[in-house]
This record gives sequence, structure tokens and C-alpha cells, in this order.
Amino acid sequence: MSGNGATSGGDPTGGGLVDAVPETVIETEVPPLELVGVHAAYGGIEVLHGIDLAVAAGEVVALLGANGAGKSTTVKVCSGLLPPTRGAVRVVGHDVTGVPSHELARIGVCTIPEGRGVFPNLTVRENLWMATQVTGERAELEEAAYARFPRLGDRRTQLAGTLSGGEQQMLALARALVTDPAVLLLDELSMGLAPIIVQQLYEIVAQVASDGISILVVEQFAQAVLGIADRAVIMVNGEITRVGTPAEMQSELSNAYLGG
Amino acid sequence: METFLQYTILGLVAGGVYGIAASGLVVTYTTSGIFNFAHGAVAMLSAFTYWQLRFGWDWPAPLALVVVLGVLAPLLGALLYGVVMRGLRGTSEVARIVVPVSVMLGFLALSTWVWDPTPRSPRLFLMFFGAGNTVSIGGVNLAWHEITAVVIAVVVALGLRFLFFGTRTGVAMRAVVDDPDLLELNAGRPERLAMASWALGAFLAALAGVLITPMMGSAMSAHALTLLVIDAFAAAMFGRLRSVPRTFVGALVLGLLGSYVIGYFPSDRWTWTGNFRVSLPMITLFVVLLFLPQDRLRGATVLRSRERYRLPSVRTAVVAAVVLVAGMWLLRGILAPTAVNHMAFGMSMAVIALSLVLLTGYAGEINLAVLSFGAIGAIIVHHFGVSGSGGDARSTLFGYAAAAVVCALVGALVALPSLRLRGLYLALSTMAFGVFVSNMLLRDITERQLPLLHTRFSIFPSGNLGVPRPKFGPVDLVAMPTFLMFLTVLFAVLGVGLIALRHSSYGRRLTAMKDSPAASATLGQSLVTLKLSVFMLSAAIAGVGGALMTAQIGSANLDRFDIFLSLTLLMLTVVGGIGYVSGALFGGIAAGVLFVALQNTFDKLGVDHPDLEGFFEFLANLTLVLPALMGVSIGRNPTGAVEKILVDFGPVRRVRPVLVAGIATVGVAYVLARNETISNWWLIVVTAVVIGVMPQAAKRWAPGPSEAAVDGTALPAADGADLPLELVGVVRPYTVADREMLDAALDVPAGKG
Ligand SMILES: Nc1ncnc2c1ncn2[C@@H]1O[C@H](COP(=O)(O)OP(=O)(O)O)[C@@H](O)[C@H]1O
Ligand SMILES: [Mg+2]
Repeated sequence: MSGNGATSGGDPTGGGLVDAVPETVIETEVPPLELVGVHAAYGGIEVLHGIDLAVAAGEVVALLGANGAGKSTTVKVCSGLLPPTRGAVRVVGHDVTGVPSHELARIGVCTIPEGRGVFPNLTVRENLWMATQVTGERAELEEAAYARFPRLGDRRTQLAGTLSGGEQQMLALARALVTDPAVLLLDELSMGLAPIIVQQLYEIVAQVASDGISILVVEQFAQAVLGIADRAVIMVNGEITRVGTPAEMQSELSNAYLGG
Repeated sequence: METFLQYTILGLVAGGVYGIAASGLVVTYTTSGIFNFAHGAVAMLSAFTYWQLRFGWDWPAPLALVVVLGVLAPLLGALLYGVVMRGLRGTSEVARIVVPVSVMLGFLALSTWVWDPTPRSPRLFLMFFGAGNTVSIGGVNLAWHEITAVVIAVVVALGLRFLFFGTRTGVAMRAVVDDPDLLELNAGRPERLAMASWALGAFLAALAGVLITPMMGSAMSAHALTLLVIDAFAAAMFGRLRSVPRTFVGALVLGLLGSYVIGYFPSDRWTWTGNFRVSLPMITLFVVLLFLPQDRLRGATVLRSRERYRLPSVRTAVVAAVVLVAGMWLLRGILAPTAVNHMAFGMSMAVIALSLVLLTGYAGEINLAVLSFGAIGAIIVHHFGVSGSGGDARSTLFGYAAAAVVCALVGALVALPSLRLRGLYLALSTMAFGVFVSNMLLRDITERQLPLLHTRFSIFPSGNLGVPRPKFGPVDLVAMPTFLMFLTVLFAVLGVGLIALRHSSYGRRLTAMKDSPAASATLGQSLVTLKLSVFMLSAAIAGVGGALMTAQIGSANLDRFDIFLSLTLLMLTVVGGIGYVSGALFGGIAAGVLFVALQNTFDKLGVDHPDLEGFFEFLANLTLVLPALMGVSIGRNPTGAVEKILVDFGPVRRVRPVLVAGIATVGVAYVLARNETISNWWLIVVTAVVIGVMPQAAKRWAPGPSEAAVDGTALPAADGADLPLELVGVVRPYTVADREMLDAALDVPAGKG
């Protein structure tokens, strides 16, 4: 994946991001991640009723919706943890429906699941070691991670469970990024974190996107993520009800949340 | 000084072997979160298999070792995980405890099947390198076997440490228990890792088994080897079931303590020294539990647990109770005296099983040693609740009341250390308590002078505890048929009481605690008092039941209160449906009557038809293994058999002709049996067939197809108030009405939740 000159990642608020969308779409016609008519259920109770969604290379798509809308379920389907009951999941055009998540991880679909991106009883180093199951040498990955997050370097022998919430998510992000994924799925990265830390994390996400990674960001509260998203998708009761630019969404969302 | 050195060295040897066994437990627990109660049983099976190969068939030792340790044990471990334990992911803690316990019971039954427990010549398992082959270390003679054991223990400790911290596979094994999904998202293979760790765990169990068996001295005993798991878990508890190094430290402490007790307690004056030594692991476990830090409470277990109990209304319960008593009355009319005896025994077991329904079914806590509370109840009635003597002796109401109170208090003592902790620890404490009762209390058979009271007293006089049948006021229950009816009425009354309790706000608080400890803690409930109270109540029921059981038999020896019987009763009650009073009926009757009767029948058939003896012997043995298979199967259907029958019978109630025809058929068969035109066996066969056929017939002639009612997974309609509390939010999202209902149910002021 090549970098995209038009997306200047450091700018979280500028309209330039939105302008860049058409370019990226043209650049790669096959989206790295695509859901087609996906239905999913837990034990016979359907919670996703036909989701269509595509994330282009270098694009950040924000998936928004109230608690219980089915956002995490969508992420589980993308990452292979939950096979869809109907519909298809495609990665760079290949049908990967029903492919187990450990294989998806190897071909570059990387997920930070909701609320728990780290192994609390492993040290920082050991957490990063787990990433080598995807790809890479242990020493290299560690070096890359500490270069990006020096704070983790200082805490390398500490148990991940004893890190602060922000540091834990840093570790989760580090673990994800060092494997150089094609698709990154982030489920409520901001949960329980201070706004300033969320801001920092999202700046990193925007930067990564500018390297050409496709990113699906799930959030309940929209403000922080709309700053870096190229597109926003609103989900209600297992269906996508609205797609648009962050700017268009801004007003829409306040209605949706206050109404719900 | 020399003796000190000697006992120290012997203690280190024993500790090393405990360490090997305990580390196997840690390995499996670490990766799967399942405490392998069958660990000792794996050690036992391996030791017996090794004995068979080496001493039964004279294989060379290295070959036998390779086959047992290198092939069979790991295979058994992997199979155990793949076939049984894997299915337990996402089930309740109860299933995760009962299924391994069932496996343990199954292995035990299997071993008595293959290796006759009373062989003509005792099985001797000699030390490796020969017992006489010793070296002297600091004046202490050690067999090469013992030295090897210590060396192996050191290698195992270092090797495991390296595996878990120095290799990616090992670190991934530790990661599995934290979060298997996350590991899979990191391209790991949680299932494979778990299977590998179970293979490793079984290997370690087998290793410990072949090392420790010759050191236990006497002939091989399947029970003693199986209970090795208790020594192992006491050691593993030092490391909170997680840390291998601390587990080895714990094992060494245990080994040394045991050795010093043998060495320095005057065994001639203190007759209980030997028993105390055997009870040491339990005592240690209790002490360790006191100091274990509290676990994090975890929410969201609701979504994953697969049991779903319907709660009958009190009115339905009363009707069922009347039907039960009437049915028993009719049945009593046609049963032979021995059958009345068996039935009464079964009903007393059912009363004990009720305590499990309350504790496990309603509150989600586990007691693995109910019969030990029963033993205490019996001891109390024996000592304080008998009036009259000889043929006129009767047990008194006071005795049973005292038994209930004492058992409740003992229950509080047993439960207190582990109440702050997860259910598994409470289960382990009760198991430890059970073994303690069997080893210390029930073996305390010699009379001794009590220091202050100037009387001679022994807890369990000459190994037999006599409890006469009760007489309450004018009601004399000495005749067995009367006693049977009394037990049935008692069961019915207690059962209705439990259901009423479950409907009360106390019962709903129990359910809330069971489903989500974290959530009910945030609601401001004191989990500790709640758990304590329910455990005490349950222990009291068990105590009374145990005393009644003893009264039924007349006099019980300590085998009647064996820990394995407690486990069997729990398992069968879970099979029946631990959330239901009828599950207790099933469990009690099955444990007390069914399997004994089946086995007797096959034995008798074998004698009657000598040509088929082998076949009937096979069937008789199979009935021993059968309960364990049923127990294992509850991993797949955690709600139990009663639930299934209820669901199957759903349509029957709506198809009158089928219902009437069924009842009429059984009625006719009953009358014929009563006239002795047909034997009771035919009545049982007819009843079984009718029960089997009725649901099918009803489905066939049902007025309208109502698939939902037939489907086992069907749940109450989403709107109704009949949706059980614990399912709200599980089968459908919360609504405002639900919130209000929950608030009311939990006695929280509206709006606060
Ligand atoms: N493991 C599960 N089992 C059963 N139902 C689930 C499970 N996880 C989520 N659900 C249900 O699926 C729906 C969507 O959940 P989820 O995808 O987690 O929503 P979101 O992430 O948008 O808050 C909710 O109604 C939730 O109750
Ligand atoms: Mg979510």
C-alpha cells in the first residue's frame, strides 16, 4: 500500500481529509474490506440485518450508533470471530466468509476488540511477543513499538493489567501496528479514557491511515472520531441507516442520540 | 538431629512428587480455566496401566514408561479436552465443576471394572531401580527411586518455568485463559494450545502417578490415588492455581509438614496422628484460602451461561407435591419390603439433594461434600437425639433440630474462608472438608476421656453410627412404609418451601447473585452475608437429611458418607436438573435406588442365565460407568433431564385423549401389578413406554402445529411477565418495563438502578 500525499495526517479537523476520499477510492478499486448483505445472529437471535459496508485503502470509516446497535457484532464478523449467517465478507476482493480469525489475522486484518486490547496477565513485552504470531521477529517488533510509543519502552516488564487505561490502548495499538496490517478494526478505543488521551490516540490513527491502511473505527460518542474520519456510518438496530461525511453527520447525530 | 535430617529429606521427596502432580493442575487450569478434578484419576489410571504393562505382562520398564507417559497419558489428556472440556467454554461454573467431577467418577468406575478392587493377591508396584537399591546421604538411606523423583521434580519445575516464560507457545498458553478471542485475533490457536496443555497436564499426572504409587507403600488403591488430586490442589493453591514456582513451594511445604507430623507427633498417645497426616492438605488449604486475595468480579457471565430454568408457581408446586405423595402411597402398596427399604433410602438421599438445589441451583454455589454434613447431622442425632434403648430407641425432634443448627454453624465455618472468592474455591474447600471429615472425624473411633466432663466419648463409636428411626410426639415412624411416607411428605414440604423461597425477594437476590455477582454487588448487596446464609441453610438441610438417611439404614459406617458418594449425588442431581426440586428427586432416587437396582438386576440375571453371564456382567459394570457418562453429557445440556421431559410433555397437556389414554394404561398396569398378575418390572416397563410414547403421540394428534412449544430452545413469549428474571436482557433487549420489574424484584427503589 502506498502512501497518499493528499491526506496530511497531522490535521485532525481540516476539511482536506474529506476532499481526499475520492482520490483514494480511485487509486484502489478493490476495497481492502467489504461487507455485502451481512446478517449475523447469536444463538438464533438475529442482530445484524443486512449490512453493506466498504472501507477503501487509506480511508477511515467511523461506525457510529447507540449501545446495542450491533457495532461490535459487525467488528466480530469482519474479524472472523462470528461467521455471518448470510452475506459475505471480502478482503481485497477475496471472499473470506467463514475464514477463522487466526487466518484473517495472518492476511492482514487486525482487530482491537472492545475494551480489552491487551492480555492483562502478560507483561508489555510478552503482549508484543504475541504479535509475532502474525508476522515478524520479536526484537524488531519490540523496537518498532517502543519507537512509536516510548512510554511502553519504560514499562516493558510491567504487567499490562497494571498499566493505565491509556497506556493499555497504546499497547493494543502498538501491537496492532507493528504487524503492518492492511485493515485495522478498532472497537471503542476511547472507552473510559480521558478526552485528551483519546485525541492523542486518534492522531496516531489518522497518521496510520495516511500510510494506506483501511480503518474501521467504532464509537458510541462521535465527537472525537468525526475529526479524523473520512466517512461516517450510522447504525441503528442492526441496520445502517445513514452514510455521509463527518460534517453532514454532525447535526444528524445529535438528533439521533438525543432522540434515542 | 539425624532424625530431623531424615524427615526433612523424606519430606522433600514427597513434596517433589506433589509438586509434579500439582504443576499439572496448574498447566490445565492456566490454559482452559477448568479445574481438572479428574487429575488424580488420570494419575490413577496411568499408574494402573503401567502396573498392568510392567508387572502384569512383564514388559520392560522403559518400554512401559514410554507407552504410558509418552503415548497413552498425553492422548488421554488431549481427548479429555477435545471431547469433554472444550464444550464447557461459556457454561456456568457449576457445569465446569460437575463435568470434571463426573469424569473423575467415570475413571474410577472404569478402573474397578478393569482392575478388580479386591484382587486375590494384592497388586504390588515396585520402586524403579528396586526398593533395596539405596544410597546413604548424610546418614539417611534413600532409594534411587526417591532420588530420581526429586531430580525429575526439579527438571519439571525448571522446564515449566521456561515453557511459560521463555517460549512463545508457553506465553500464548498463559494468554489463552486471559482472552482466547484476543489470542485468536493475534493469529494464535487457542484450541490447539489448550489441547496441548491438557496433554501436558495428563503427562504430568501420569508421571506423578507412577512415581508416587510405589512410595505409598501398601497395595495400589484406586481411591487413594484419585484423591491425590487433593494434595495436589492444596499445593497449587499456594500459587493461586497459576504460578508454577509457588506451586512447587507449596508442595514442598506440604511434603515437609507431613513428614514432620509423622516424625514428631507421638503416635502411641495421639491415635489421630496418622489421620491428621492424611488431613494435612485440607488444613493447609483452609489456611491458604484465608490469605488468598479476592478475585476480580466479572460481569457479563449472564450472556454466556447456557442454563435456563423455568420457575414453577407455588400453586403448581403444591399440586406436584400432592401428586408425589399420592403416587408414593400407591407405589408403596405394591413394593416388596426390600424395595420399600431402597425407596426410603432414595427419598432420604433426595432430601439431601434438595440442599444442593438451594445452594447450587438457586445460588450458584457448590458443595462437593454434602454427605459430610449429613455425617455431622447423624453424629449429632446419635449423641444427643436418642431416647429409649434397645428396640424402643427412637430419635427425637430435638435431635434433628440440633443437627440442623450444628450443621448450619459448621457450614458457616467451612464456607467463611472462601466466601470472598470465586465459586471454585468454595467447592474446593467443601471437598477438602469432606475428606477431612472422612479421615479425621469418622475415623475417630476409639473412646477417650474427655478432660472436663469426666465421661468417655468417641465421635464415631467403633466405626458404626446407630440412629434409630424417629418418633415425633405421638407419631412413631419405626415401620419402614410409614417412614417412607414421612420422608416423601418431608421432601414435598421442603420442596414447596424452596420454591416459595425462590419466589421471595431473598430468592430473587440469590438468582441475581448467581447470574451476575458483579452486578448484584453494585446493587449494594452484601454477597458475603447472602452466600453465608444460603450455605448455612443448605448445610442444615443436608445435616437433617443425613441423619434421616442413617435412621433409614439403622446404623451407618463411614463409607456411607464417602466423598465419592457426595460427588455422585451432586452429579446425578445436576443431571436431573439442579435448578429444579424434581431434579433433587431424580438425583436422590437415581443415586439411592436406580443404579443399585439396575446392577442387582444384572447380577441376578447373570446368575439365572449362566450362559450369558459375561454379557450381564458387562451391563452391570456399564451401569457403574453410566452415571458418569450422564454427568459428562450435562456439558451439552446443562439444564438437565427434567427440563427436557417438561419440554417434551408440553404438548401432551394440551392433547386430552393422549393424556387420558396414557394415565389409564399406567393405571391398569398398576392394578394388575397390585393383584400380582404382572410383576412390578412390567409396571416399570409399561410406565417407561407410556412416558416415551406420549410426547410423540401428542405431537401427532396435536390440534395445531405449535413448533415453538415443541422446540427445546423455545422460551417464554417476549411480552409476558412469565419471562424468568434471569433471562431478561438475554433473550431480548431490556425495556423500560423490564427495568421497573427488575428494580421491584431486587428491592431497589425505582429509578436508582
Ligand atoms: N455474545 C452475545 N450473545 C447474545 N447476544 C449478544 C451477544 N453480544 C451482543 N449481543 C446482542 O447483540 C446486539 C448487538 O450488540 P453489540 O454488537 O455488542 O452492540 P454495540 O457494540 O453496538 O453496543 C445487542 O442486542 C446485544 O444484546
Ligand atoms: Mg460494542
